[in-house]
Amino acid sequence: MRLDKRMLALPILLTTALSMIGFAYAHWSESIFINGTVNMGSLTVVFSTYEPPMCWDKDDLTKDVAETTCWYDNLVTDPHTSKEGYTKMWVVISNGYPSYWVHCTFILQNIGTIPAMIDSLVFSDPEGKLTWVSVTSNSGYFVDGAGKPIINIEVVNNVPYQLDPCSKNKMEIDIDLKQDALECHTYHFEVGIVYEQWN
Amino acid sequence: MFTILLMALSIVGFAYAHWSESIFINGTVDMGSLTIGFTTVTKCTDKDDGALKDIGEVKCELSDPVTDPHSEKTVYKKLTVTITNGYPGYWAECFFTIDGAGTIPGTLVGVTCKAPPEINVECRGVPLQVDPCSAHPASLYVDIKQDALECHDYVFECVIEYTEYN
Repeated sequence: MRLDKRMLALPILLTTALSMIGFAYAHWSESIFINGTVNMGSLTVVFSTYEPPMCWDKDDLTKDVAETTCWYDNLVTDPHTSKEGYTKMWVVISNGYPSYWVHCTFILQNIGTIPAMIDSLVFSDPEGKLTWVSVTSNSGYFVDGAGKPIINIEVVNNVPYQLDPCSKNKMEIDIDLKQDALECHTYHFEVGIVYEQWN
Repeated sequence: MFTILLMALSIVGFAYAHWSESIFINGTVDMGSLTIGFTTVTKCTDKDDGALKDIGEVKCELSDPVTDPHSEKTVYKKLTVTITNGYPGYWAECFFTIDGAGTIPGTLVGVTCKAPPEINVECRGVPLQVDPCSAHPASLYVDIKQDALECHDYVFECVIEYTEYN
C-alpha cells in the first residue's frame, strides 16, 4: 500500500520538475552587439630628409681655422605613413678656439599622424663633465667642474610650439666657445628636443 | 430463453437509445514576438570635433538588419564603432536608440564589454526595459588610455542582452 502512494507521487513530482524546466526554457531572450575597432595614430617627429643640416662658422670667409661638420643619423620610418626621417643630428667642431662660433640650421618634420607639441629643449653633456646652466628655455651655457663657462648654446626658435603632421619647421642653433675652454680638449654636448602629443 | 433474449436486447437497446452531446473548446494562441535592436545612430562626437585640429575620427554604423515578422518593423542587431587615428586622451561617444520591434517588452539581463586594457569602453543609459515601439536613447563611450600603442588596432565588443519582461 505504501509503495502505491509513492508511485502516485512520482508523476506529480516529475510534472512539477518539468514545468519548472519548461518555465525556464519558455523565456525568450535577445542579444544585440556593439563591435568596435580603434585604429591608433602615430607620433613621430624627426630631422627631415627634405634637406641636410647646414652649418657655417665665424672664420669661413677669413682664415678658415676651425671646421664644423654636421649630419643626421639614425634613420627611422613611421609605420603609419611610411615617411622617413632621422632622430639624431651630429655637430662636430674641430680645432676650435675661444670666441669661435657656429650657426647651424636644420629642419624638424612631423612624419606621424598626430600633431606634436615641441615642448622643451634639454641640454646635457653625455660624459657628465659639463653642467648646463639655463638662462632661458632655449638658451644657456655649459660650465666645467670649476664653474667656468665653456660653451654657449642658443636655439633660436622659441618653444613650445606645435608641429602638425606633414609640417616642417626650420630651426637654428648657435654655438660659441668661451674664454675658459681648454686647449687640445674635446667637449661633448647633447641637445634633446622633447616633444609630446599636442593635446 | 426468448424472454432472456428480449431482456438482453432491451438492455442493449436502452444503452443505444441514450442521447449524447459533445461540446468543444477550440483555442488559438497568437504568439507575440520579442525583437530588440538598434534603430538609429543619432550622433557621434569626439574630443577634437570642435577643436582647431580634428585629428581622431569616429564612425558608427548599423548592420545586420532583422525584420520582426509580427510588426514588420526593422531593427539592427549590430552597431559597429570605428575610431581612426586615435591617440592617448582621445575619447569618442556614439549616441543611438534601442527599440523593441516586436510585441513583447524586454528586460535588460546585462551589458558585457570585452576590451583591451588600453581602451576604456562604457555603455551608458542602456534601458532596463524596452517596450515595443519606443526608442530608448543610449550611448557608447570609448576613451584611449596612456598605454595604447602607436599604429595599433584595438578591437572591442559589447553585448547587450535582453529577456522577455516577465
